[in-house]
This record gives sequence, C-alpha cells and structure tokens, in this order.
Amino acid sequence: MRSRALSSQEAGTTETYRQLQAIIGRHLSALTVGSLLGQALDRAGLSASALQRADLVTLLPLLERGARLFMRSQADVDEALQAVRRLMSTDRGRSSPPARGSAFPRARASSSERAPAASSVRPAPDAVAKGEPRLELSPPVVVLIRAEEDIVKARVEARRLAESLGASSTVQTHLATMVSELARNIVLYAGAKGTLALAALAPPAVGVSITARDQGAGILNLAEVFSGTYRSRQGMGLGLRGVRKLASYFEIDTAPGKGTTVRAQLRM
Amino acid sequence: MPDSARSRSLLEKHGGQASPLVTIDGVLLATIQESLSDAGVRRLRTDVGARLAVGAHRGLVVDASGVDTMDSFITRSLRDLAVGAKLMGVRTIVCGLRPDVVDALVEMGLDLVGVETVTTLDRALAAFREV
Ligand SMILES: Nc1ncnc2c1ncn2[C@@H]1O[C@H](COP(=O)(O)OP(=O)(O)OP(=O)(O)O)[C@@H](O)[C@H]1O
Ligand SMILES: [Mg+2]
Repeated sequence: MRSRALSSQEAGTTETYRQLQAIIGRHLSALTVGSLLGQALDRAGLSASALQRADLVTLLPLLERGARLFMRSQADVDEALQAVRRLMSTDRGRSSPPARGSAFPRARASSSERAPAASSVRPAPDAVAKGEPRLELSPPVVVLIRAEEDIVKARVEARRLAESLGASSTVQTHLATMVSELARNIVLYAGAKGTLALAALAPPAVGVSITARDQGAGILNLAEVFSGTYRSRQGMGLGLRGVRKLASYFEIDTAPGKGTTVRAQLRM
Repeated sequence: MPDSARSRSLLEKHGGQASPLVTIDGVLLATIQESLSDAGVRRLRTDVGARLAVGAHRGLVVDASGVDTMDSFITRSLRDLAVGAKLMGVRTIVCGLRPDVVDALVEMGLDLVGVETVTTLDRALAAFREV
C-alpha cells in the first residue's frame, strides 16, 4: 500500500524535485526529507509535480529553515545548501552539458526544450542566465500586473523597497527600470495576467530580487531575443537584454503555453 | 497659463495624467511628469503632434527633469516624439535628463540617437533664442 503510494508520488515529481530529495537525503531519513521538502514547497506555493530549477531561488530560504531544524550540524546544513546552490547554477551557458537524461537536466528555458532530440545548433537553453543567485528574504512585496497602470505601481514599489534598504538613487533607478521592463512585457505579451514580486536579499547580500511571473504564451524565440538580432514591432527588443545587463543575477524560465518567469537580482 | 490650462482640460477629457504644454516665445514646452504612465506617454505624443500641426512653433522643448525612470518604451517614445517633430520641421531639444536615468539608459544599451539634448531647461530655451 505504502510503497505503491510512494512510487506513484515519485512518478508525479519533476527531476529537480528528485535531485533535491537526493541532496537532502544525504543527511536525513526519507521520511524527514519528504516532510522538509513538503513544508518548504507548501510555503512557497510550489508543488513537487511542477518544481523547476528556477524555483530553487524561492525555495532555498525555506529549505534552509527546514535544514536548520532537522539536520544534526551546521556543517550538514551548509553542505546541503551548497549542493542546492550548485544545482541552481550548474549546467548553465558553456559549462559542459551533461548527457541527456542525466541527473542534471537543463532548466526549462527554451521553447524547444521539450523537443525529444536536442539539436546542436540551438544554443544551450540557459545561455541567457547570468550570475549566481543569492538568498531572498521573505515575504516579498507582490504587485499584481493586470493593467498598464500597474507598471507605474510596480516601479513605485521597487523604489520604495530599494530606498528602505538604503540604495543609492542610481541603484533605485536601475531597479525601477528593470521592474518597468518586466511589468510592461507582462502587460504587452502575457495578456496583463501576471505578478511582479520584489524581495530584499538575505544578509550578508544587500539587494533586491525581482520575480516577474505570468501565464502567457511564453517566449518562443528566446535565443533570438538574446542574440541581439531581434527587433520587435512594439518596442526596440532591448527590454530583456537591458534587464539582464543591469542585473547581477538573471534567469528566464519559459515554455510555450506555460508562461514566463523572469528572476533577476540587483545587488548594491 | 491659458495654454496649459487648455491642454490640461483637453487631456483630462481623455483621462489619465496630463503633461502640461505651454508656449514660450513660439517654442512649445512639454513638461513630462514624474510617474509617467504608458498612457501618459502616448497622450504626450498625440498632444504635442496636434499642437505642432496647428501652431507655428519655432521649436519643441521636452523637459524630462521630472522623469525618474525611463525604460525602453519611454525612451523609444521620447525619441519618436523628437524625430516626429523634426519631420514636421520643428527643431526639438530634450532637456533635464537626470544623471541616474542616463546611467540606466547607457547600462541597458539604450540611447537617444538623433535627439538633441541639453542639461537644463534654461539652456534649451536659450538655444532657440540664439537662432
Ligand atoms: N512575458 C512575456 N511573455 C511572452 N512573450 C514575451 C514576454 N516578454 C517578452 N516577450 C517576447 O520577447 C520579445 C522581447 O522582449 P523585450 O522586452 O526584450 O523587447 P520588446 O518588449 O519587444 O521591446 P522593448 O522592451 O525594447 O520595448 C518581445 O517582443 C516578446 O515577443
Ligand atoms: Mg519589453
């Protein structure tokens, strides 16, 4: 009975989830792993059946909390978190690609990612990612992006948060600009159905993390957008590239029909 | 100012925030407001275009000193406004871009190519007096 329940659960989980299981499982029993991960996912509003590499940024602070509670030593906690961070940052850009179906699948980042056979012409899906993520301090400020006016709202919130962290006006402006780009993209291309979350980074890092999430059609030509050859009809096709330039950490998770999540961090 | 009052009432009719338009010595001055919405940007372009089409303006000055954030859309709109005015035969000067805003634009790889810019409003107006 029990093993059947477990295996069907297993089948409904993503590879990222199973990798987390393995990492945490080095230090804790399977039962504790399940409860630690379950609680962290619950709090983050994520699920084992949809967990992606890109969600780890959100999950990490919660995992840390759980790991501190359950693990025997700080060294174990550190080691586990380090492994999770490696999971976030491995297999990105030009780092040697693992074989298909290996324990380290690529983060979902390209429209053609789901195609069965990888073509060598297509750049690594995560070639667009930049930098190392830092821990976030929850709770985030969430601005619903439902209409054009919400772009201004998001900018105002971004400035407010940056200012409260003692950011210079230059940094405030950088942040507000990034937020403006991402919020506008949600309005223009994702049917104005999305959210923009802002959170302070956990010390010792000082900065802000931006998560722009929508349920739109996804970005179908991600590689082209970031290649610099792309010219959009509505804009200059410079928004996302600009955000990446300003960011100390940048990552896009997008798939056709599944929406787009952009995570960016700006450290001061 | 009768001009700005008229433009404001015109703008209010269409909802949203007005960027005041006034004429000084035959130069149309558009002052962009701080929390510029996309609708506000579009309205500015429409209104400036309408004013330039009817009036015999010698020039257009866009005062951007109130703008605290310029992303790619706003930058492009501003550029289109200036280029459009130029096509109508009206010399356009953008003034007052804040250093932080300029910094963000440069970092992002955006620019205002083809747009005449000066630091202050005084300089912008002075540029037309010299002619
Ligand atoms: N959230 C999104 N959902 C779906 N497609 C998107 C989303 N964001 C961007 N895109 C697509 O990616 C392209 C590039 O976006 P980017 O912001 O870089 O440039 P742009 O919006 O076209 O122009 P600009 O931002 O310079 O005004 C867009 O034209 C759009 O096709
Ligand atoms: Mg854009």
